[in-house]
Amino acid sequence: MTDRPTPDFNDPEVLAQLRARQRSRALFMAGILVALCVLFYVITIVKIGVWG
Amino acid sequence: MGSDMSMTEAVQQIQGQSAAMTAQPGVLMPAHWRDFWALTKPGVIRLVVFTGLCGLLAAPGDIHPVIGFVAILCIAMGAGGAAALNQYYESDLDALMKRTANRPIPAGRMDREAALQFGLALSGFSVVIMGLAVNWLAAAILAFSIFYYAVIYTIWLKPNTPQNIVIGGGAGAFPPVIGWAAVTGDVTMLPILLFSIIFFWTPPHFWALALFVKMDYARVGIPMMPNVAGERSTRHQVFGYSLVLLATVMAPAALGLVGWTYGISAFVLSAIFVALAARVGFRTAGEGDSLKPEKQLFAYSIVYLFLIFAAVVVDRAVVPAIAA
Repeated sequence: MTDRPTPDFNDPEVLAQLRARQRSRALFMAGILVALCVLFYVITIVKIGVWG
Repeated sequence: MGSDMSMTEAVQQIQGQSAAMTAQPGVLMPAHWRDFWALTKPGVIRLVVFTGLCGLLAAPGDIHPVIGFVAILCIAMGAGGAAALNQYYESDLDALMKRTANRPIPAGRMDREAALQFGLALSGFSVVIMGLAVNWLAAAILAFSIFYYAVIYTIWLKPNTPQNIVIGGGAGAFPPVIGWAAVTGDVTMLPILLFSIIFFWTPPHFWALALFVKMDYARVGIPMMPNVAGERSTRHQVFGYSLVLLATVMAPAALGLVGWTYGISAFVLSAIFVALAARVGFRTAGEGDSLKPEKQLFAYSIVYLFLIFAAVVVDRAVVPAIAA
């Protein structure tokens, strides 16, 4: 697993790929966090008995 | 202009980091989120979620749909976390087997440490949320099932004994018990029998697979039954376990815990299972054999488990609702 070629981050194409991947991960993480906020909110509403 | 400057600075900063990164062997591109998804073994999660949901629906009593959803979500996250920990630990072996070589770590798309952190976070998070939102008995069973799979099965049993699948089958058998405990807050005879059904289903299911991928396991030194006890003994055990499974599957009906809808369905489905297992159990595969009966048993075993658990839900939840 450590014998793979290391990406050359000085190459603009590799750099662009790196940024695109960081962006997609950040958006995915943001989506997860928003979903968790909604989930915790709904759990709290249910637990305090607003929805029976 | 200001944003151009900051972009330039950011690129320079990354380039500066990249100069340091290129000096380190094995430093990779950050993994794609799809690889984290693949790390959770979504195919396995499907079965885990289904059996957990069946345990939840078959349990007596009511649970708020939102809390029920959270319980199933936690079961799925726990299973995903355990799968990630399994792939972290077994990445060296996965790289040597054709079936697993394309997983994120052995294929070089993900760093091992990232898999470890992801697995621990997902596991811990699922247990805490289960405890806070559902109940702590369900959370405790979930925590134990993660430990069972990631430590007892992956680290201890799998590399050391050909009984790995027999004892390790317990790891996948917990979801219906967790689903049941999420509703009732306790564990009675029926969830224990649902656990036993998955437990005794696992050996014939997995050994049917091991019979046609045994060279993969032999290559990496995993002591799977066909490589240790021989093909003939494994075939006999597949048939033997299918009979134990038949008895276990019929037990809920015999004890009066479920009705005739389940009893008849379970008997018919199990009779087909035993017939397919008998075909595998009493044949000898020659050189170049296509191993069709083994593949048929493996495929049927998956459908079988789905249908058995669906029959439990129909019998315990759907039929009474229609009758009422």
